[in-house]
Amino acid sequence: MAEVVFRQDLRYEALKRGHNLRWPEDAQDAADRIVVCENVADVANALQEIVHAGLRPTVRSGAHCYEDFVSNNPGGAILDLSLLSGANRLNSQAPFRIGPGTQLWNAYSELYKLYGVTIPGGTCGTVGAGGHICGGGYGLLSRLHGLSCDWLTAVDILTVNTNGKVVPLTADAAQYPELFRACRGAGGGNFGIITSYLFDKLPPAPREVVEAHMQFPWANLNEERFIRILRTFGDYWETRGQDPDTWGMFSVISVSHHTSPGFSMSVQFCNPDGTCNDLSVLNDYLDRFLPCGGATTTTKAPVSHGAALGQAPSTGPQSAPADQLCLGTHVVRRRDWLLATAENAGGPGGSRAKYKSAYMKRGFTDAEARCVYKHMNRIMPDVDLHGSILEIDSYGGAINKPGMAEATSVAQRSSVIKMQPMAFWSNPQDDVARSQWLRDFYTDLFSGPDSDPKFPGCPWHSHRYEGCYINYPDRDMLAFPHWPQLYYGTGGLYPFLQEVKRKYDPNNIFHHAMSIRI
Amino acid sequence: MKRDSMQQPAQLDRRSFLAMAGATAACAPSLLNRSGNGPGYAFLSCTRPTGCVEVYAVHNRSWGLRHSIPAESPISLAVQSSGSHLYVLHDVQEFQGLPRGYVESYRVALDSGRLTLLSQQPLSLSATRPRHLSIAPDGKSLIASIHGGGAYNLLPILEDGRAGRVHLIRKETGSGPILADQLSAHPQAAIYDHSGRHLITADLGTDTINILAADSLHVLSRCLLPAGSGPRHLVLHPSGRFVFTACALSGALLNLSYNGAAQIGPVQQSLSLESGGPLALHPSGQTLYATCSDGLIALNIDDRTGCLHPLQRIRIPAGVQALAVSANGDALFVATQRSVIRMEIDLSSGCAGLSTTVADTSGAHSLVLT
Repeated sequence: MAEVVFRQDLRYEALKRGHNLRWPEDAQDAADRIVVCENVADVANALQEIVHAGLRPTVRSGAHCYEDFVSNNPGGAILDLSLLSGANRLNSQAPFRIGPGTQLWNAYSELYKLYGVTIPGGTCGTVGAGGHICGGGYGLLSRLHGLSCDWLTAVDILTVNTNGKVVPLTADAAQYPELFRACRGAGGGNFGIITSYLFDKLPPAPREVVEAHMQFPWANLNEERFIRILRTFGDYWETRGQDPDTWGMFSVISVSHHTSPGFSMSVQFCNPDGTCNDLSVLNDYLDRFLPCGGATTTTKAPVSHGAALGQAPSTGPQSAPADQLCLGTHVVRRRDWLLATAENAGGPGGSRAKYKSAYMKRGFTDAEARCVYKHMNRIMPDVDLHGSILEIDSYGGAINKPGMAEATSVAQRSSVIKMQPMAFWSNPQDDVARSQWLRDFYTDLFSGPDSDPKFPGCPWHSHRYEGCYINYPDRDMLAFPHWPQLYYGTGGLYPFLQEVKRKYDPNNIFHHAMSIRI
Repeated sequence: MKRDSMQQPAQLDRRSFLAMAGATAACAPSLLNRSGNGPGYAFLSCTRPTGCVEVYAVHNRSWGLRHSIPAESPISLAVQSSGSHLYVLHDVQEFQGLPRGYVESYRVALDSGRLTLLSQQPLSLSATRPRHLSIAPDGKSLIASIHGGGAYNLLPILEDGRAGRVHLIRKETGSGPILADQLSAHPQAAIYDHSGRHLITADLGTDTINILAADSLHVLSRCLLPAGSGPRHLVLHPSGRFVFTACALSGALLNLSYNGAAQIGPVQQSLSLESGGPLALHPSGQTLYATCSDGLIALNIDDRTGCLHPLQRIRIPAGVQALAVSANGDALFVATQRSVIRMEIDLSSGCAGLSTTVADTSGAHSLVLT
């Protein structure tokens, strides 16, 4: 039986929001109730009641949504699926089944311990499978094995028909194939509530990996050396990094604003067979950075990949003044118990954050690298830019195998780099300035000589860029009438998704700021 | 269900004629007193060739343009009973990058009719292509009916007259048999009943007339109309006992009973007018003006049953876009695709007669008088 938390409930304040504390924007934007479901029947019953009552449902699994899609739901209801967790199979012939509430770390752990397999996506361990897989699902093993959604063979999904009746469906390549395809990359808050992800097979987990980290102190860098680092990184992934023997290598550069001591590059490596018997590829890669002045270390950098939501990067924000209390002569901090406990346990805490994304088909040009350098060294009066980061991920490999764009709803299958500019802060009063820094940076980066002059300010599809990633949604993109094409490509995918939307959610029950529009 | 196909204008029954004349005479003094309070204004919204809102001073038989402002897509207007504020609903797919319409609030200068924009208030997410806006009898809230989003939005009116943030949302579901128009719910209109506690709503997509609680938007009752009706316009009889709805898909004009609380229906009468256009009630409650295939029709209302009896048919080649009756009941204003015309109403019969053009505005969508 689902637990319903209303405004007067002590748990409401903690449950009304996810890990990005920007949402809900204010009390009026918050949902009136949070329905915590324990099983699929709970979800179906709750959804039926919500639709019958004329309310808007939004759906939460891991609570990592970057934008306001879930927590801004004035007067509506949040369906919390975090307890629908588990990654297992009924028997050796049955598909693997992952519940939407399964946090990725638990999925890795359960699948590895029970079956020696894994899903290839994910970097932040507390992201929920529900929001991860249906948007594509990318992670450290994606270059080797593709996206999470590439392995998906079916979804159990609750749809709402024309007359407002909840209809459970199992969509796969044979039944409701168009809905199935839509859920492989565009399923987030668009067509229904996915209650299970099913995989006939999954790739084997590597037996071992080699990790390497390289530190780049700002004190040792000037603009030319910085450019050299980005050029070295980009050139590798554009060329050598697309050879199959390198697909087991994942690398990320997390460029922190110069208010941090420096930034880092991390590498995870295995051979395509999941072993680390031959490290020549890794060695070659690391060697290329020696002239850049990087120092290799086994110590992980303070800012890790996916320091994203709630991972409270150590270079990130301090507690918000709004949370601080004066207790006599002491300064203390008031917090939600759940948030504090989660953070103390190594899980997601909470911060205010803003994110953007871009797919790149090529490495960096000098102009792009100079632009990054400029903004990472920018000073804004009275604004602390600590916690401003550009994360640059290696991409491509198995993700770009032919045919996957047509089989899934992830159109971007030609890129070699995926970027995630982001900013973290604590004080609500910094919302405007911190978001503005990020917006300025992004706009500048994609308005330079390498951008299509007809589409300034965004990574419009060209020989260099391939749009944006829907799992890193950015409401700023709504300023562009072509925002759907940025996320879903310029081919027939978006019209296809609109058709699926009309068919399976004719009432537009499932909607958010960047949902498929009909 | 009774279906009257009106090929010829019916003859006026002598008994009902005299009864109507008496009732009109009885109510006329108070209506005339209202008109004596000073010049009123006519507010007109137009979407073609470009969107605008126009304000006219109404002087007996002529209108004088006082103010005209550009407006994106003004589909429906609502005015405070004091005339102090005007609310403009915009029929758009997107506002500020999000899928939703919006409401503009204007202060009306009572001496000049000039409009001052106070605010633009977004409707709820997915509230696209709104159609109709009504103001509560107490002047404290607005209800928007949203065609594209299949929803109703309730907005408070703040102390300074601005429409506040959407306070309540009701999302409807359902469909009808006409695939081109009825794949999902399409609320078209919502009006307050006389108590102000209930909303009467028309949903073209689901063929329903609904009663909602005005303070919660909970559904209190639904009346299912004949499949494929597509109710579009609504008026509530001054007695509060009858609701008339013009159906855009079937072209029928329906009469439904209403008990002043939670119960609406059943359909008591259906007239095929081959239209579904706007409606206007005479303040006496004895005449309904409806749109028909070739213009206008005046119908006498049986004050006991609400049954409609055709009085008069008037050809209007330019088509009828909006209708309004003056507060004292002496004139019917008809916005056509080319202009606004004023027609004299014979208070004794309810028939509309002599017409004059009072405004050259074309493409009008909504006409409100104060």
